[in-house]
Amino acid sequence: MFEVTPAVPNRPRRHPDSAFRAVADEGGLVVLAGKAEVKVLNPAAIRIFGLLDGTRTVDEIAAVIADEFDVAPEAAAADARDFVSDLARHGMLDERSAEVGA
Amino acid sequence: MSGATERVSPYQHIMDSAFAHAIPLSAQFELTFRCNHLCTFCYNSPTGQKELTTPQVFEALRKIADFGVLYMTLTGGEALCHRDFFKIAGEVRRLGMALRIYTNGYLLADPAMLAKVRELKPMEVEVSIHGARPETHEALTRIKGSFAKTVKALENLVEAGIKINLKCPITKLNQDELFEIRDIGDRLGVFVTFDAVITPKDDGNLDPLALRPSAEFLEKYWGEWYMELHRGKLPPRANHCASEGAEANCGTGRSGFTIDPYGNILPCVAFRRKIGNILEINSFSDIWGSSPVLNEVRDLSIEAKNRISRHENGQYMTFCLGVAETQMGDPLAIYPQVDINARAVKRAYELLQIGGNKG
Repeated sequence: MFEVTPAVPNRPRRHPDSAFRAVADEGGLVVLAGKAEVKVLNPAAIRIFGLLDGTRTVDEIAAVIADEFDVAPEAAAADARDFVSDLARHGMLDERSAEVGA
Repeated sequence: MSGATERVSPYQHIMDSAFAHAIPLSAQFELTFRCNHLCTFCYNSPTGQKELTTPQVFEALRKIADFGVLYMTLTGGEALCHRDFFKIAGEVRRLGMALRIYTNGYLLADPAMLAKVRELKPMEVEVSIHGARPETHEALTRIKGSFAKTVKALENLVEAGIKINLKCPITKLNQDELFEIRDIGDRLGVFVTFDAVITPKDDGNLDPLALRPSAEFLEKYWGEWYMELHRGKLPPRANHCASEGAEANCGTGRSGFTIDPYGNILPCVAFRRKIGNILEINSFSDIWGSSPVLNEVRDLSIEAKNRISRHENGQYMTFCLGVAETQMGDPLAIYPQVDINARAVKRAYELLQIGGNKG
């Protein structure tokens, strides 16, 4: 009836079976191994995906984005949270990453 | 960041950008020239040199991954004949690259082997089929029982939920069985891609060309059968590795590269000019932007595009510099097959009353 959004870990990590690559300034590609699916991400999103190594919080990642892409920290934080939730919904995060909950 | 789940058109945009910037997203690694088939038209030409050891393959993979390659294809010979295939494929995945496997499927008839492939979570497995019945398939592979094993492998792959890219090189031996081959694919729920181009061997030996389908067949194939065999797709008017509007003919030395079993770096699987040896470089960055061979290959690909655009049937040509060099001794020479195919494709578009501008 309604979609359940998986909880986002404190220090999210991209799915270990995923492969990704940034391409010039255009964004990048993420391949979900075993599913033969390729997702296209914009430049900020592929940067975030690359930072999802399980060592950083979403807020820490947002700070990197705010700095590198010259956007307001609040906007970067909101976008980063939305994006990471989106990744969780699409099964693109490691379900075993760190503890869940903020 | 809302672009997280966009597909298709943005994908092509990114691929075109990578092409324009000569960012190689793909690599093919020929792990070994050993093979369990004896295909009469195989293009491989082993030189007898010592193939890379497994530690050397690992070193090469690290350099390739460090350069940012996303798609790694393991091929051969028959890649699964390499005694350390699973170690190597596992390393590809560990290094964060998406894995493709090219195979004749023979060994994947074994459920235990298939289970090990499944654990690798490959992006796709490409299998070749050469006929709709054993006598045809095996006349080309020259291995008794290979048809049944390949079909069993396909069934195993489907059951395991692994994406299959099923290909059929068209020869004069199987040209009358294409619809039956498509039916095999349909029964398995797998799309079959037919390839009408048989190439010379890498060493210039032209023997495989004796298996080419006839010109009469090609006219029928492109004009009447291609779309039906490919679920309504129009015949291609450009190489699969380059958009119709790209400045170069194809992605050779640009969108990818090939490593042969000796570690030689080549612009692509078909255009086998040695760029260097992967064991003799510290990183790909050392050569990708500055190699005189690569620069010449890229220029040749642009020149090929320009020449083709001026050719009478250029709008319908799918041209390979590697085949031209091997077969004609000149990477820019229009070889007979490309002209025959172009005329047939042109006729097909005329029958469909579709304009010929490539964009």
